[in-house]
Amino acid sequence: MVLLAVVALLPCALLAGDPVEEIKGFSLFEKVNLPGLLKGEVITERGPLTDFRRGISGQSCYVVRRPPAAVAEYIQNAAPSTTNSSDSVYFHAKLSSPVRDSDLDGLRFNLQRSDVRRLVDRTQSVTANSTDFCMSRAEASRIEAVVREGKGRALAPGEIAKQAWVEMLLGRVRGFQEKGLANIAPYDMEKTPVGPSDEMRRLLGEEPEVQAHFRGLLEDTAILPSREGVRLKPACYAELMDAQIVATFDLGAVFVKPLANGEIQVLDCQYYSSNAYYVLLTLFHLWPIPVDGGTATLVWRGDFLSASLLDVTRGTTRMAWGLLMMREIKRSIQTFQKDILKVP
Amino acid sequence: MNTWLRRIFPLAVCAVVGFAFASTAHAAAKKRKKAASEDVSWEINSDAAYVAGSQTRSGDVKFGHMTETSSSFQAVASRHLNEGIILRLGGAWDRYSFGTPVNSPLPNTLQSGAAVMGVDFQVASEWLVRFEVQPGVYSDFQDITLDDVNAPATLGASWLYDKDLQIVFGLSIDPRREIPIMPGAGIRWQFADRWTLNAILPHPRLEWAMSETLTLNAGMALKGGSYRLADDYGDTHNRPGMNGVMVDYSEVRCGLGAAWKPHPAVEVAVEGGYMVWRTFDAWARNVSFRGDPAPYGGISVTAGF
Repeated sequence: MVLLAVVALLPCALLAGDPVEEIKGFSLFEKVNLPGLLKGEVITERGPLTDFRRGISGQSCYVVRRPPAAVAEYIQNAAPSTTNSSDSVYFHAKLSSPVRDSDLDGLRFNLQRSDVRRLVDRTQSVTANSTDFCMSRAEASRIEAVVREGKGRALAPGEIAKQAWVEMLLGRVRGFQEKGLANIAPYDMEKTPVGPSDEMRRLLGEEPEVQAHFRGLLEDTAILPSREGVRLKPACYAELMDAQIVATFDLGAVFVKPLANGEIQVLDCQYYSSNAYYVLLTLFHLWPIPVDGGTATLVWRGDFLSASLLDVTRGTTRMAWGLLMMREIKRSIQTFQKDILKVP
Repeated sequence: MNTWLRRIFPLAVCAVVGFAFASTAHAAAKKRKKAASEDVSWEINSDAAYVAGSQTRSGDVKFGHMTETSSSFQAVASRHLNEGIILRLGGAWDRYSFGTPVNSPLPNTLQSGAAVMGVDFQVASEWLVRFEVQPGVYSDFQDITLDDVNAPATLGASWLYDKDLQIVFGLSIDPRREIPIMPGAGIRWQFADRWTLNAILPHPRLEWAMSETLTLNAGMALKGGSYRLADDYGDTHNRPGMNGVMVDYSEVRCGLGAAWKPHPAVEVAVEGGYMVWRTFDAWARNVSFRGDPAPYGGISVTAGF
């Protein structure tokens, strides 16, 4: 009884000493002020300069006032609002496993939005030899055929674009679900073909401490080679969002790996984007921490992005780009901290 | 899932920083386990413009029409000293060539050749600061002496609120100018899908992104500098007292432009409009000359790699 009373009186920082020391061990953070994080503070750092020119990364650390299992479940299943115009996520769909044709039935193109109109217009001009979108030559050829057929049937451009993209995206999802992250179809319409799987490995390879910390998760998702292959079943999703001048499709998968002591690792992997960027990986490590008689979660998060535009972004501009990226991530985390509390 | 990403990308096509960045001194100090990349990046800019004949006067006295051909070239290399500090070294050349009438009291050339030396660094997570000095020769290049050497400098800070809004503060320091220290402020605000208010000196403008590679703009360009005239300038121009004086040259152009990016690292821009303000101010002698408005046209090429 005495021992239990002593444990109950231990300062929160002492009980949480292990995750804080662990974060310091593999991340960019030398100081992690847990009391500050418990008050809602979010600390961020842009990632280090690396030799992978089109890669950029950032790390953040924060506390969520829910247990790790609830946080992981929210990350995996919560859908962004598609009705709030400021968020600009036009469409979000959870995908079945295996994916069904009907999973994307809810896709609609709001042609009153200029970026959606540009997406529809540029789809009409895709050919097997030329496109601004990230896709394989076979996919471009198929879209060209769908567009030709749609024009022959006098369909509206929006309908033609929907048919073309739904077919293409379902094909990509099936390929991912069958072959995993290790074998994502390349974008060979780029000047130099880009393999999303290679991009993921390059991004993580530039930060070996992070890669080592998440090795088990990365092997279970087949980003890193493993004899056992894929051992985690992801929650897959598809989105249409406003990412640049042209509305952008992305396909993603969220993997959750429970660890010992109530800890959880999560990987949110956007393995396909129709334009704007190549791949986006977000890694989370969740630690349970006691607070106010309950359990909260200390979160370390790493964002890793590969984009062609970063190849020509150097020096001052790149530094500013990295800072702004972390500003936006911080805002999204602060929104996440509030939104998760609304879930019963 | 990662909705922050769709907010950040429009920035990637824009030059964010009008002034630059400040020292690393963040409370949650970061450790860099990996050495910073030793890559050197380059910024190269070249431009040329022609201003049509403009009547030049001092008070009520007219001195005839003057044309102008302006040109400049700047090449600056940047290299990270560490994660938070960037060293900038390079050179800049600026020339104003005037087609002056016979017996004009005005110089036919104002020119500068200078080194560019600066440092950019980051303060906290929201501020970038730049300090840059350009030591060199600023004169009419008739007889170059040590008296023609000047070292104007710029100190600026950018507050990065988010990817749509950045605010810039700065000081222009020129010990040879009538007003040696001049403050300035500016804003870069993308207030709509394709519209950006890029109100940052010396080229504040309103931009409309017609496409991913073509931007149209309307705005102003502030040009000029402080230059020393030759030791015998007054003697050769029948202007006693003008030997070796400093002249503050100022010019304001208003017009429309278009900037085209044939490659993400290259931009070609053309512009045209009216030069609405021109002064040659030999402030130490209380003598100044003004130019009437005149049309102008120009072209510039910028590359970063």
